[in-house]
Amino acid sequence: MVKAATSEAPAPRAGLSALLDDVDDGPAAKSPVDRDTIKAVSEEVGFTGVPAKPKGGRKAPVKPVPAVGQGADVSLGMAEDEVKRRVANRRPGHRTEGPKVQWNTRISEEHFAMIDVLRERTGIPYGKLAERAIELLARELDG
Amino acid sequence: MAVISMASPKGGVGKTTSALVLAGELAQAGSTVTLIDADPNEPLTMWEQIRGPREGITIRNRIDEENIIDEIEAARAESKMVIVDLEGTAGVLVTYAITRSDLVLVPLQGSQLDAVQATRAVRLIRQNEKALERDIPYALVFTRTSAAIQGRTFKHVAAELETARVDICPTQLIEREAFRALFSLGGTLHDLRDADVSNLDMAKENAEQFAFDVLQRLPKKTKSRARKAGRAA
Repeated sequence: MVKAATSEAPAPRAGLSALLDDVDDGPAAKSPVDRDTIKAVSEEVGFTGVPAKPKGGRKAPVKPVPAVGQGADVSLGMAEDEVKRRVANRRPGHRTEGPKVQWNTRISEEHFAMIDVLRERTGIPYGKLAERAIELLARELDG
Repeated sequence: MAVISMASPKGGVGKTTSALVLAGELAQAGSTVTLIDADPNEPLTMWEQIRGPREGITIRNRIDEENIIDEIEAARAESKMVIVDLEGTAGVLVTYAITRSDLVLVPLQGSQLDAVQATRAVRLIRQNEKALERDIPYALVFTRTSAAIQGRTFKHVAAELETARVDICPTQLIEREAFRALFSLGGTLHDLRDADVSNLDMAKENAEQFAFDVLQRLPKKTKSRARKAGRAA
């Protein structure tokens, strides 16, 4: 029966020390290491995944988002027609409508369309782009 | 010299927290502990950097498939207790660690998703038992459970696991600010002050009971060996 851990079962620290003294010196150490058997068992159960690269390993480069005034092309060469088309294609409930827009009401629909393009071109997810890119674009376009 | 592995193919179930809480209690009880940081994100290494090395606890990192067995054996030689914190993936590295373990703990939260992945880990342990022709004690450990209530999903998952005759640790690690604070303030529960977090005493009590349950599951010395060890001491 699974029970919640409560204060009902105090385990005095002396009890821990006594249990520690009683622990066997590693029976697992006595079993032989057969890497082929281990790999076969692993594959049988589907544990064949490639581990993530250790810290410090080579990581995929992330394209930096250039700052406005430092080479950023906020228009991204998007034609006016393209902006209009994207804005027109927005569905009801899109982030430019309703409560979701409250966090950045200064941003116009055109800004969002430009961010879409920025995301497509850089491959940087929207979440990462949002804070910096929206701020930069808004400052540029409002200013 | 006993090796305990924290294993689950799913991430975010509480492996690292369980490992650190257990290490803290064992060190506090006078044991030497080596934590093997086999998660590529190296959370335990980052933990150590907050306050610096903690007396009684050694960290080993940069672990991969090639070196994990050697690292476990080296740790076994230097410390009374070795705790392996594994990455939340279903890889061969996990299997290597399990084969060298005297006890495998499978942390999970009370969700169906965690339970499914926990049973995958149990299946791997059982297959290794067959291949190695030896028992590998294991237990599932519920983590981040509520101190006040047990949700319907949790009860359902726990009941299913019991029906499947899966061994479950009776002590759950309760959701406590003190456990989270270990990774922001560093040290163990015994290095924290009451001013740092709320309900510190409750967290310590929970951790101690957890350590007690874990130690009871480790293989014990036979009486003759225990007597011999006592005479040698």
